[in-house]
Amino acid sequence: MRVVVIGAGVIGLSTALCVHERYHSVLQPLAVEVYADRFTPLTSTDVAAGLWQPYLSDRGNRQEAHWNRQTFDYLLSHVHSPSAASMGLAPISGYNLFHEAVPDPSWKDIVLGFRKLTPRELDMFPDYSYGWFNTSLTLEGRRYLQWLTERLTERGVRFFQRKVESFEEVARGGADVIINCTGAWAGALQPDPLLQPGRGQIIKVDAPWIKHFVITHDLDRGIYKSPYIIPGIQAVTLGGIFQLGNWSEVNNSEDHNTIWEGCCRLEPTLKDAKIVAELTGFRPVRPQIRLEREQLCFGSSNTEVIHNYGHGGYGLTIHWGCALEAAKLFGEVLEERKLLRVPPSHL
Amino acid sequence: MESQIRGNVLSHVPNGKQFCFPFVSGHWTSHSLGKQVLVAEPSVVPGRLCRDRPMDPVRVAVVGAGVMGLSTALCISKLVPGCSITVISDKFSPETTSDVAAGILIPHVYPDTPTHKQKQWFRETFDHLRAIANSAEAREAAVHLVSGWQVYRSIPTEVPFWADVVLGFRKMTEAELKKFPQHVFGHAFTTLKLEGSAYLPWLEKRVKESGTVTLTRRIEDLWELHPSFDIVVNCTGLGSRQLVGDLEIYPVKGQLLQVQAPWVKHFIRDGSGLTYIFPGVSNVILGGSRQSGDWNLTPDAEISRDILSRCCALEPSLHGAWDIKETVGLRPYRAGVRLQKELLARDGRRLPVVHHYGHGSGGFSMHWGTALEAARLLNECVQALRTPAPKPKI
Repeated sequence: MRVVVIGAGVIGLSTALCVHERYHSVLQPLAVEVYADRFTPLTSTDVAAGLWQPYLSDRGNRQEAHWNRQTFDYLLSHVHSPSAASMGLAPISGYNLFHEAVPDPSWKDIVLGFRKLTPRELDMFPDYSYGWFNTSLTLEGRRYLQWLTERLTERGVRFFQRKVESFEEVARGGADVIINCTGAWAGALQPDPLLQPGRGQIIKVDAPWIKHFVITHDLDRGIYKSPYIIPGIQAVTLGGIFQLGNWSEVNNSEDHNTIWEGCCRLEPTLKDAKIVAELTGFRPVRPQIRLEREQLCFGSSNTEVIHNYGHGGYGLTIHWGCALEAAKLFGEVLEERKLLRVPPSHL
Repeated sequence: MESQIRGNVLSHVPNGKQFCFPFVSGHWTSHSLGKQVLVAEPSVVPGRLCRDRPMDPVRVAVVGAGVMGLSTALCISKLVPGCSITVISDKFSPETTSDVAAGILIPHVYPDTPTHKQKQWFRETFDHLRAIANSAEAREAAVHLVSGWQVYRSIPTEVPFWADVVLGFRKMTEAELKKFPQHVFGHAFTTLKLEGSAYLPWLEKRVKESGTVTLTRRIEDLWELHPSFDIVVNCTGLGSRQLVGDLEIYPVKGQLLQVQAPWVKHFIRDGSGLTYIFPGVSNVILGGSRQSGDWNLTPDAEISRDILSRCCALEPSLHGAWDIKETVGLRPYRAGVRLQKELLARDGRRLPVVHHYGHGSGGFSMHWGTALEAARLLNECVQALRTPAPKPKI
């Protein structure tokens, strides 16, 4: 059984790991390969700030809410392991700020210690009148991808740097199952009018005195269009840019100013912080994640494709729940093809 | 033997042991009797010689350049008009006790000081530092907010007096306690932390901006400062045991590890106060130890291993910490902070002293509040000096 995962961001690598973990002992031989034109540090995941936090409202999507929770619980269970730091994983607390009172988010019971901000805390943020405090998790994209790559390499998963032009070429190359984790570029393999790039730009600074995330919300303007400050393990990410449909991969100076002024206003101590990097990335925006099977016919054989893309700005937040779901779909494929020696008990 | 002064101080009058004072630059040198005296350089700044006139600046010597000495000097410069201040110490940052201290704002409880006083000092310190943490000075002063947990192995009977001074104080939830399997209860809150080795130089800069001068010199006897200075502020911490004969103050040695573990963003403190993890700007501090009566400043390797082991039990990711440095400091332990005026008298001479020392493990937590109080006491001394009254003949 040859499985090809297309895409080496957090979705591709975590799905590859999840599939291999669950099936390598019950399905032999199982060859898993990762094809991608970009690997860390050049993926969208590398640009992400790395904070576990879903959107404010789950838009009625119970499945996604469940995958978010699964991901948090999975990460929380690893937070005490000695490898947490090498995974890029650590607890982090911080502030969500609003201009007016808002309902509590659906994820308030998933994060730890969720509460409203006290008046004295709000004093620190004169532009905002309401907010939350909670403890969440940081999962730094670059470190996590490096860690995933190490785990996959240990398992004999092989990586190939190549730009895939079509599912057909991969199928004709001998893949039995293709897992499509191509993120913002999924439309190049199969047109998807629901998928759009949500361009983001971030500035990374050296500001080790900042220990909390601070995320502001402007409900009129929309998600990620208001300043945010998210400390990572070494650097602090400053952001606040979300441009639908903009494919420009170049850092934009106006966006730089928007981020810098917004974040310095929020946190005056940043004034003297040293800038260490500036990056642009594309959130794969979709009304909901496309996580489903599709059978494609090339010549005489059927190729199973499992789509797993469209995670918007919450890919790290939801990745493990989606990987589990993709692995479940993979299991269905195996059952249908009567390929399992023993039905895995954990399905 | 000579030692240079870091700034203009005072001069020597050729007719004997007494000092007089227009402000000139000079240097310390050995008198033929072996006593250190100050010799004036030729350039004399015209100044008033008579100290009885009310407009003369009152000359204040602050002895000690740890967080107490520097903060008190700063408070005096801001609050008590008409003072000229000199900070005198044998040690300045980075060689003071304050440089070793962890710098977290969680008060130590003084059995002999009324609780309302401790709360007032803590609140004053917290509010003062919070303003710095929110300003562009935060980076240089290395003052910042930090959130975290204080965890207990048995349920405490009382809520700490400082609960409503820190931010967001509340009980930990069951889910949060899962992170600490050996503890059954906890408090979560947000407080402040500073780094002594950055905060002290920052204080020193502020202090100098206000016209205060600093002088590196070991004072063996407060009377050395008479009559060059009108009032002495004693911020010598443990040094007071010898300097003023206070046997109530004694060292409680503490050993700390400074490590690199930049993913640790929360403080964790065991309710007993013996084990703690405090993330700072340039390192994470792991502690600690308490050895009463031990004056030895050499780190103990066994204690370091034990600290690391206890901290890893609280936070397993610390197994990955690197660049581990050991430091040792002596907490100036006293049942109560000594904030008190005293009028020293000898051979018809008088020297008002304001004592400001004895903060044990709670120095940073209280420093601004007690410095304000010391400045108030100093102001009382200044008022007393300026009250026209017959002065004893010298």
